[in-house]
Amino acid sequence: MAGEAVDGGLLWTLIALVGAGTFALRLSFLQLRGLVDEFPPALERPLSYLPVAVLAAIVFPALFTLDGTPGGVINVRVFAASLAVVVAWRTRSVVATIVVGMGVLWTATFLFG
Amino acid sequence: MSTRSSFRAGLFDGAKATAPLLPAAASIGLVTGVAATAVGLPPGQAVSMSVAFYSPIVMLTALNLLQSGAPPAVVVLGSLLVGARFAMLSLSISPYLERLSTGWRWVLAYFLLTPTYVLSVERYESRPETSRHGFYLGTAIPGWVTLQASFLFGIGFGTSVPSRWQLGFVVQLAFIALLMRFLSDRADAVAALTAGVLAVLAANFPLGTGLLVAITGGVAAGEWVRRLEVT
Repeated sequence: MAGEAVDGGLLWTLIALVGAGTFALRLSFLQLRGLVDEFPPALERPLSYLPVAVLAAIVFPALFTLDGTPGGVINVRVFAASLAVVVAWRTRSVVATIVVGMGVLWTATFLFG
Repeated sequence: MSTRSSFRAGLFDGAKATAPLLPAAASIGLVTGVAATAVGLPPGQAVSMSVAFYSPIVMLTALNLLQSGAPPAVVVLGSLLVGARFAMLSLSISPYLERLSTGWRWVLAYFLLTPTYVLSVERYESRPETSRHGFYLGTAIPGWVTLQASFLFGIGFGTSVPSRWQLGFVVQLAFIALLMRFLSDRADAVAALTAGVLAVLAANFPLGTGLLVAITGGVAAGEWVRRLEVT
């Protein structure tokens, strides 16, 4: 839990830093207009992979790692997450993904937990 | 038409254009609010985060990293890497907003999100006489209010649910949904899969270096596949 891992002051610093950072990224070229006319193509394509790479790099270990070591344990959450991937892919709906994922998690916990 | 009345007309048109997107904004706000309580953020910090970041995806990134116990520096770095695409939106919309004052540009920058970007550029192209800041704000304000209000509902819901419901899993499920939305071609899929597998293998690298290795590897793999497909 965040409350235990990060103390209050540190959490506020974190909020301020990311808040200021996202604002700076949004403002960047609105303010620097004229310095750069187009995004360097060498940067543009790698940047387009950045969101998916970061999201996957964060969510995979949360599902497949136990106690900071690669576990690869097939547990209830991995099963629920796999079905959620299919639902997210077919429906593109955040709500449907969560409803199915949580539904599977609860049902499986009820049956086997 | 005077400047003031065209500003108002722009506000109104922007609000009208953004209305069909509000249910989606409400659902993602609700989910983010539930996720924030599931991670254990106190309501004050959660609301400040939601207002300061004003981006569900950046916020869910921060929540995910906090939940997995990442060091604070890694939480900041990971969140800003996800936010890096704002710089692309910023560059792409900048020609349309260059006549505005610095003050206006700072205000509009805060509200820069993909839906506002898409609707505004579309409108500036089809009807160049549109009030630039009027239309932009018209799309942004209803979106902001909807997102923050539904976020509050999410916090209320999340705190009223007993912990045996395992709501923490919502954090990962929301992430999965967003990830699948971002996947548009094979190169994206390879980038995601590579980054994910590398992240699991490098999970016990010190201080977030595993995350950096995974992200770099994913981006390189995506670029490699794209080049194979082009040639």
